[in-house]
Amino acid sequence: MSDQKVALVIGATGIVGGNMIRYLDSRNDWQVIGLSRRQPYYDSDATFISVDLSNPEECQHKLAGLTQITHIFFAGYTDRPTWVEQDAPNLALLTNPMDVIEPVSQNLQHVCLLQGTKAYGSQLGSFKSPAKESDLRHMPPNFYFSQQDYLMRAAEEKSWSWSCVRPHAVCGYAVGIPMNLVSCISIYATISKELGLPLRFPGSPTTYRSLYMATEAGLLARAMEWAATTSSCANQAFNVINGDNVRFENMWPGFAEFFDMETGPLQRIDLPLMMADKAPLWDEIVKKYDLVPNAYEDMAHWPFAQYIFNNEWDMISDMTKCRTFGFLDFVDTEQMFLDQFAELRTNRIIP
Amino acid sequence: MTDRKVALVFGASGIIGRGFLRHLEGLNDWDIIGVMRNPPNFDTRAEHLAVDLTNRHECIARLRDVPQITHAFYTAYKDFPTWEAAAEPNIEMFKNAMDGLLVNAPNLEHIQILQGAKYYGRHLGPYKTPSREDDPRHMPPSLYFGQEDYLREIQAGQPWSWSAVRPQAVCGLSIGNPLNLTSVVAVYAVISRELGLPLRWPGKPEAFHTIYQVTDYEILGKSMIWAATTPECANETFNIANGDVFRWDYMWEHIAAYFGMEVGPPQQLDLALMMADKEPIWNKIVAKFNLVPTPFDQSANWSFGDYAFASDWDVCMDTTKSRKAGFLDFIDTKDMFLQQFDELRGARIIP
Repeated sequence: MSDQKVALVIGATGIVGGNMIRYLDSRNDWQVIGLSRRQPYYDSDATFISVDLSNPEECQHKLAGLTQITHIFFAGYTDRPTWVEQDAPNLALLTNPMDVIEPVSQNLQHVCLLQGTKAYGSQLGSFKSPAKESDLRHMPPNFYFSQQDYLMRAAEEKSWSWSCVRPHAVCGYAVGIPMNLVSCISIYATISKELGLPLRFPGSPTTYRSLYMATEAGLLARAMEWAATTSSCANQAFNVINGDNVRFENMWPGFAEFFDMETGPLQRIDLPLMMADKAPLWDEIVKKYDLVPNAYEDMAHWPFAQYIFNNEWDMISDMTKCRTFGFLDFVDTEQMFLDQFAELRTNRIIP
Repeated sequence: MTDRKVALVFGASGIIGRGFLRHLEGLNDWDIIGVMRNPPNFDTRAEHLAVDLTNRHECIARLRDVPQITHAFYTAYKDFPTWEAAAEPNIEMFKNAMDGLLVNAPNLEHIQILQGAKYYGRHLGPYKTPSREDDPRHMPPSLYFGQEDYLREIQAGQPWSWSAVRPQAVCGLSIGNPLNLTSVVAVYAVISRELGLPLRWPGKPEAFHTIYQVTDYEILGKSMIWAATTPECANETFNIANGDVFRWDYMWEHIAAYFGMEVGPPQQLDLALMMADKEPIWNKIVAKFNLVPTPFDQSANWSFGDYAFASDWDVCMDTTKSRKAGFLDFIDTKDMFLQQFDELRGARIIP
């Protein structure tokens, strides 16, 4: 058996999958194959297969040749209007490729499943926090449960193992991924500034002061590789967050300073409603500051920002399990935001 | 020059100092001198230097006799009816100690002061959390401010460096240490159980649900040595905690399970008032379970419990700075409490 590891990254153009592939590229011992519908927005040595994962026939047709896969990193996601409606289609995104690849990939060692804090019901309302991996599940449905249960059954009496990683608000390099907190804040700030407004927190005053956390995409990629290749991590779930807790209240003045703005008093607004008419202004900003042209709708998904800024309960996961199992990486969250704003500026995505 | 280090521990018979002595005793490359008013009533390999820190002449006269010291750790604290009233006399004690020490300390490399989350105003009311080392100070007085300012002043231009460590609610070394949440919780639980009561939360109702944080004394000890001997830590301050945060509502279930009790509905109590008459029950428990006799007034400090259980605001510090500087130790706080209960049981202090 060869030591060459062959990674299949499912969801290669998402913020998690994209950063995972970029990270694995930087390691010397991985051959990488990426699956996605769209073409990747980044340079990579990986092989990309364009496939609609929701279509089982297409999966059969395009993926049956993947016989060398040793590690699968699943980061696919398909949106639906409600959490309940997301269950079946997201389960299919995992089972369709797995049902084709698992029987033919004789060297399969591990399947790492991307989950999130929603595994604890963070999206439903106030939940027990800091969330621990051992916490009991909430009332189903939850596609994370369905996907994990599927994996647990599929792995029974097989030589491969599985793991789940549970990050929160993954922040990192991405293009054309509007469900991205860094991008949403940057665009909101840039537009506010252009209008001569201070940087006002647009969400709930309670959210402003609640505890929050985030996961830097590079840290998550390292954690996924670690979980997939560390034998003690077999068949375990891990919270993967930066390791600190923050409040928007504490970070907001630093954000305002970055954008050279005043921190304004709170002003709760309905972002999808109030930001809907700002595409022409964004286009003007792009011209005025000679930015790389990006469509307004690719820069910020306002319902996502609305969701993030209006969860009126603490969003915190406990990192002790990860650390106990040996993953000690951490990131300073406030610094992460500032660094990623700066990266957007350097890349002339924002002025 | 030898690599052998000589620690001078001010306040060596105090709660923190004694825990720190025990930690130092496990390190072969340290000689230890403990500054205490009276000879130690516990086993230690530390030499005893009798100095009353409130007596300036005594400090100047006696501290010149230990020119071999390389590292000084200031953990002394004299209690007063209020924290504010404690400020000036404790600052004076510190100045006496420093002025005495510096008369004749040719080998001095480092002076460290022990601070705490009160540096951030944790005791005053709702404050900015998670606290960071560079947060602006609260309205004085605070003995921490005065001591730190004096240390900064006398260090200027000197070849030695200083550091400050800031733990929150140090737990551990429970044996003979009533000022300790582990002892408070354990004795409260054991007495409740003996009375046929469930384990009821005795603190403020909101404090059951707010975020809290503690520091294991072994982690504190390691961090103190680390900060005192790591060149990058020179002239810096560090938050030191277990690395996780928790809520008592969650912890309470595990504590109840440990003692084989049911969790009862919360019942706010003034512990200092309501536990004052429980000495006969405690003595009965000691006799019934053949425990090592601990005088009731040394079993648990109820006023400390009242203070710790009354924070109806989040209490937590950010530990990113110490992680960045290389201190990665952590412990699961639930495991810490259960291990420390085991220690109490093993020493037959509680049944």
